[in-house]
Amino acid sequence: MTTQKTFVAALSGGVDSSVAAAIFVRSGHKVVGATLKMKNCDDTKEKTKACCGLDDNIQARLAADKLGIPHYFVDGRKEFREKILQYAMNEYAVGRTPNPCVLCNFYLKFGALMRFAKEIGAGGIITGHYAIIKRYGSADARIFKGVDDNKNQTYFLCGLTQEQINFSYFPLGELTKPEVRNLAEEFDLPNAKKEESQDACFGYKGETFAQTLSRTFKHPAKQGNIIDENGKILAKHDGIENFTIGQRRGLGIALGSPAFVVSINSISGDVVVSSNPELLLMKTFTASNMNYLDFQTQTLECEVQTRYRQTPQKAVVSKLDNHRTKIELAEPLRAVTPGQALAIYNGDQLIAGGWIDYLTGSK
Amino acid sequence: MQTLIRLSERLKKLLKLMNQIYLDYNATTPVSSEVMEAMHPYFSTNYGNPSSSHSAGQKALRAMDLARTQVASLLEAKVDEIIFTGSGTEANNIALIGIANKFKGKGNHIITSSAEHSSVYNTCKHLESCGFELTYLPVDSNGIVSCEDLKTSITDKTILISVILANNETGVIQNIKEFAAIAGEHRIVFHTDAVQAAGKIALDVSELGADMMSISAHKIYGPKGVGALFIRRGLSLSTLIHGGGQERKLRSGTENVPAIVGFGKACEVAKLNLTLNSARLSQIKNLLEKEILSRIKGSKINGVGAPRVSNTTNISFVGTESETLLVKLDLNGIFVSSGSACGAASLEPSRTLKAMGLTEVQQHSALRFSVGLQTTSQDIDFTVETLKKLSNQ
Repeated sequence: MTTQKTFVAALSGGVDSSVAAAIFVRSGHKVVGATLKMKNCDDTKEKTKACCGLDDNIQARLAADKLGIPHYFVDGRKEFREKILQYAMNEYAVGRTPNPCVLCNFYLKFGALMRFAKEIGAGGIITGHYAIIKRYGSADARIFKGVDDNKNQTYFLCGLTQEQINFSYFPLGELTKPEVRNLAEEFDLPNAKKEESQDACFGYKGETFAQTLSRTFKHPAKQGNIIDENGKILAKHDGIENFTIGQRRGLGIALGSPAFVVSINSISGDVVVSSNPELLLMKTFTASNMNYLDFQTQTLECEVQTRYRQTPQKAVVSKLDNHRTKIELAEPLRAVTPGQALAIYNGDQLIAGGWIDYLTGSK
Repeated sequence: MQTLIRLSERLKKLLKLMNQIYLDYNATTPVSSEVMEAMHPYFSTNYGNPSSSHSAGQKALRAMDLARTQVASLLEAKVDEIIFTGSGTEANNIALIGIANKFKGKGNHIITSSAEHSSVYNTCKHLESCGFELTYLPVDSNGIVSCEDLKTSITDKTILISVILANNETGVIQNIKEFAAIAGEHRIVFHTDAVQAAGKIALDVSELGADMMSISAHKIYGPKGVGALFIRRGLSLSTLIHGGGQERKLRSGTENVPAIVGFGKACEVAKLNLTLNSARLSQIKNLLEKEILSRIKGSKINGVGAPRVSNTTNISFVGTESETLLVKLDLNGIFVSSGSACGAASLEPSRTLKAMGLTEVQQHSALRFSVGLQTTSQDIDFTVETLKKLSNQ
């Protein structure tokens, strides 16, 4: 038998990753399924989201069985707790809004799982991300937006290194979600009719992600006051962790007109709300911990995305140094949130990623 | 086109099955054809409930009686000293919790070792949370518990001592006879988990002096889902599983007659062929050890200085990561385990190896090979070849 390149399919139990694996299997490739174990098996508190839980493990195994491929678990519990949960907890504590999915990709899916794949001699990993990879050479793979505008998941890939991208395969990039669902039915995959998974994968029924983290790490919430833009105290709140910039719901106050969170002060515990939409607009800000993938010049006119499911915005991005950039948006943008990931695009190509800093403000 | 793809996939699966080398007999064994044959009538022909007074029930009861004598015979015990359970784990639970609750008026101290199977270890942890005092005796670098340590740990509050007979991960055999004697002197109940010993070494409960002993069917070519607990005549336990009063009120629930019948047959066959099988397994295992030690650099047998059962060898392959080596072996059709089978789903490190003082590196590079009746010397050759190839990568 010839030595074929083996691929490790990252199976989450969801329909996307299963179809991605199926596509490679049906094309005659040698595929091995692997699922990241991020929680203990006696973690039975009811989840809100269907991802990486016990039922998902079963779905992952069933999918592997259907495809006739071996299936293994990769232990990512330590990394998940330290790099994802602890990180998220720390971000909330300083008034930022974390983006765990971006880090999960970097540390777990394309971190621990990729290491496993390399250790067993595989030549690549397959995931169900809606993104396109174009290879310009064996060590020059580049990420482009997928065909489905509703599911541009390249945002979550903005933290990946070149090495990680070189090793990755995204067969769903040229497909839309409805097409993927059809394929799942065609392949007769057990999770073809599974619900879409939306929120943070660590959600539990009856509590927010932040509350779960607070409980997990026994870290008390930073309580304080909700104040208006003039400093007048409007109400008390249970924790800055429960708020994010631009938030309208759950404020617990009545200002006459719709109000939203404008800023969060982790030192005083003040959450500033206002009915003035102007206060939420931002034109210039900085980002740090930059991941430059294909950003050659000092300054570039391109597009940036400051949160998932946002149409990339025209901007001029200038490198301040190897780790920081300045972003000047063409049009002011509502609710640019510190702590969120920043994805930078040149047309359809993802060219860099970073993390939105404390805002420098101004229009 | 689809049909052709499916056909070729089926062929691939079939070829794969033919090329598989199973070296994980301590995890479980295939049910032998004699056992299958013995069990068969009790599914849909003689399917009565042994508790029923009518003839259908009587037939099932008689089959169970026979099985009970067969199991008792393997342990040289009396037939009324055997109760059937759902597994070796269940037998351990019934034994430990049964004695703890029965004797808690007399004392609350329990002694066990730090190299037990998780069903003993976790039951002890549970008892600890219920207020019992637990001593986990250390083991030396070969995995052996010392008599001295046992003696010095006994107090006037000690009500139970439980030490595993043969360790599931390393195969190391403890001095059960001496421990039981020490327990006897102090009039303390002595239990031993003999799940991995039955069928491999001769067992005689009187000779050993144990008050209770656990065994399991699926380790000796019997079916999964049935175990047994030997309880010396005169010893009474507190009930764990309540209900209709089956198994002398110690394990209620309608008996799994087919499995029990299979268990009986497995014990009969195991006893008959014990010496022959043991010798053959030793030979195959020794070949495996010899080849690995001589051909793979950095390999080391864990527990090598202690007496071990015939079929088990736990080897650290320093310089590798056992979890990924296990996967690579699997992809080559060779099935072994790291840690113990029960730990696999939880990816936990081995308590036994840690207790033996192995370094983290040695622990994380250890694999367990346990050979069985279907293992051939060609299997060993291919395994060693593959290991050599994989460890050079």
